[in-house]
Amino acid sequence: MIRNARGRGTAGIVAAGLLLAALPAVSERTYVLTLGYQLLLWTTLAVSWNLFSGFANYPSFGHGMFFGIGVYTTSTMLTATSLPYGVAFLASFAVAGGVAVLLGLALFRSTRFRGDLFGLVTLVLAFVVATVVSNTSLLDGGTGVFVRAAAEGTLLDNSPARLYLTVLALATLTVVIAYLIATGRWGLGLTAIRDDEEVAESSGVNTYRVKVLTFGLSAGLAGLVGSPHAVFLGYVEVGSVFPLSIPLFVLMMAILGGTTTWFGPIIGAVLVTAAQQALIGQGQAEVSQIIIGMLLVVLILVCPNGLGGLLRRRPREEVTS
Amino acid sequence: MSPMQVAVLQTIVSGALLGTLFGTIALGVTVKWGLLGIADFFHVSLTLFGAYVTYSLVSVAGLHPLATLLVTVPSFFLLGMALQWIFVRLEVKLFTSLLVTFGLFVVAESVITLLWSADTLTLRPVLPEWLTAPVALPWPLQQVRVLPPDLLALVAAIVLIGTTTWALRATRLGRGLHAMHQDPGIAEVFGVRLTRTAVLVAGFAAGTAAVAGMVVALKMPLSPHLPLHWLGVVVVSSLLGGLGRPLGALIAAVFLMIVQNLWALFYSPSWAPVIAFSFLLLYLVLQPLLTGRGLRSLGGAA
Amino acid sequence: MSLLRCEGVTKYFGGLRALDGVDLVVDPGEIVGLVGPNGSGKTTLMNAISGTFGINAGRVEFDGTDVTGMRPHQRAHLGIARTFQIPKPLPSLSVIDNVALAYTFGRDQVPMGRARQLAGDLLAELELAGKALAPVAHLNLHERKLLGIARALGLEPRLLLLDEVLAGLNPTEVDLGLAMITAVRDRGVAVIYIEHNVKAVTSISDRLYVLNRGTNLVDGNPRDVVADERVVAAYLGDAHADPA
Repeated sequence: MIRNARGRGTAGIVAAGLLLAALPAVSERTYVLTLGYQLLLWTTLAVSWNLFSGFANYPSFGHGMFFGIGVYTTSTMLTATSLPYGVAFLASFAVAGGVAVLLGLALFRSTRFRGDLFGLVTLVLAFVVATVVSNTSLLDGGTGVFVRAAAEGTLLDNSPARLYLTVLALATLTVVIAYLIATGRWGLGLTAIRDDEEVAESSGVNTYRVKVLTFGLSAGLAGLVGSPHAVFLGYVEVGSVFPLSIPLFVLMMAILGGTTTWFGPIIGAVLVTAAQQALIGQGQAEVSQIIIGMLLVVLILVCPNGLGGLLRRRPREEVTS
Repeated sequence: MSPMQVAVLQTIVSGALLGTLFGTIALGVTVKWGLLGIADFFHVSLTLFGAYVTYSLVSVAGLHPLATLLVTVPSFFLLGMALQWIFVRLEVKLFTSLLVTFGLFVVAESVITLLWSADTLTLRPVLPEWLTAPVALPWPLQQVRVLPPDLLALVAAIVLIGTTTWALRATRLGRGLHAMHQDPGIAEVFGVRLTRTAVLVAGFAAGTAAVAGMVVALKMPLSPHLPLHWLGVVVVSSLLGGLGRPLGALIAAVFLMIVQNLWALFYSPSWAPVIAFSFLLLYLVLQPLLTGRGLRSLGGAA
Repeated sequence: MSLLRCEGVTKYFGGLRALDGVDLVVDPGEIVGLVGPNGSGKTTLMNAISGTFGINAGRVEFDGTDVTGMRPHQRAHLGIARTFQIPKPLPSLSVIDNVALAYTFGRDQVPMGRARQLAGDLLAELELAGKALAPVAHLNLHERKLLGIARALGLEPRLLLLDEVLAGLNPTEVDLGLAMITAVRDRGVAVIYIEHNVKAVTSISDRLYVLNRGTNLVDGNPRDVVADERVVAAYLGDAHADPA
């Protein structure tokens, strides 16, 4: 019975994805497709972040780094090799996920690396990776990489519709994965880790393995969506691939939408991206950046458990008192 | 001395003096993080904000650089108190504070760009000669030259970190702060006024950012993204020095900047930023192995 | 052959010696009481057996396997289950999922649907079925302790470590608890039972170990042990500091 329910849920998500796939047929306008692309990109990032950082409560500031690793894996493979795009696509997943697995193997040996320390180490590593990329001439070397020419004639071919469909497919995949994890055994283990790792461990959960693998999957999906983004950008440079605003926005989207559910980050991503697009329309970019940033800061201050937590707060207090 | 020896010596001295500036910036971060439970990235932005305000007061209003402190320190003190008061009222937890101050950090860059433009600004042309002419150090370092703002950084670090270290150990406020950090409930029973103490300490931290900001304005050209380059060194020194220990942060900052400058002298300067992070990662990964306390958080009492 | 064998278990916390060469043997299907004054190392020994932390010296052997270096989940899979002194229900999970967790991540890695079924059956046995779908915040202390035991039993253990499961309960609940522990033993599960209430322990234990200052003081038949003057001295010496 449960299996059927999960099957129905998965089918529902895939159906929603197929419905959204009709957008290029409805409108050929680049503006519409780019807006759709942005919404789906942020959705993928927020939902994939949440897989590990939300479900297990290990908030990472490194999601922008994994996304950037995916971008640079694809840009490097497209420009420096003659391999087909599909290989670069899969490599983006593998490299980003691999870095996360190695990091997890080292960090999760000790339980000190949670909360602020885990956040910091992931942030610090993002700086290191950005420095490495800008100093390695094969990857970037500080001059940026032109991807547009190399992407011509590949699967994506610089077409807004194809880019949109690729990110749609990735968003659907990510949401399905989040849904299956949240409603299944793996999610139960992650929730136990969030609540109390000692109890999880003594209840038979191999917390080390669960954390390392989920962190790897979460980062791998961010890297995967970085792959079409390299083509979307056309010209890739460290400053625009590794800005601090990416991990910040991903965190805030997930937290605002709610980190304990699979769908919360989707809501957060859509709300924040929509607000951002609306503000960018009005005049100065700096002003809109300030407004959206302050809005997020105030919202996090007022409801640190997300908009859902704000609604639930009252009854929960009654229960515990 | 051979030219190489002089160069090495010069690099070490400059690095150490730059380290005292970062130690002063780290002062506010380590005290707030270690004793108030607020991981404040915004403190670094506040320092640059202080530098820009100093810039405007000196270049536009024509104030003496040291006199700007009479304006910046009190106003920053109030700003820090107000921010902390909000944090206390909303019962902000450590991680939320990290997120919020990180958000403010990103916002601050845009605000500064909006107010002062993204161009590089420098006070150097308007400064009097006694603040710009290199000074030779006394024997035996007479071949080493330092700039007056660097000496100002040293003085600021000694005064502020010395006072703070003494105050944390010897004054009623300092002891109250430690008690509050250990157990707020018990501290309150013994007469520590929690909100007032926290707000005062945060105000003091913001005040030190104003002082550090003045030194920054005298010492280097200003641009909105400087905090991004400082953040690493400041956070790493705070952690390496032990959270809540300003003197430790100062020593760590001096050490890191000496190593970083030496690296830049012999190898590619563009790799230098990675050094601080490498030390931090090394320390974080090795520390549990060295002390065998990696699982302490799990260990139940007997 | 004995089920659990601890030899010379030693554990330091910083400079403090919490356990100093403790020996303990448990045979299959027996209830072993573990008593001692506050700070004598009872909970530390329990953590050393369940694997919460590594030990500095000595060895822990379970069912003929050396488990000294194993992590807690590995020991859980072998059949060592525990409760916590302060019950730690997982607040984000419903009561039934707290127990299903142990079934689905336990030795047999039962699929989720089946795990929930088994968890429901177990909760019914413990008379918690009415609250199976409730959030744990709805449980009182007694029910939280029962849930802790249910989660431990969900691992289908051969050795159950109980840490003061009766502390803070009223006399009726204590009697029910004692009956339940005996019932668990009757299913073939060995029990190590830490308790402050010496009377309660002696009433159901097959054997008793007394720890004092991190070392073995006395062990053997409960009645002989409580009459032993060294035990009386250890407790009286502690009496002023600890009226319990």
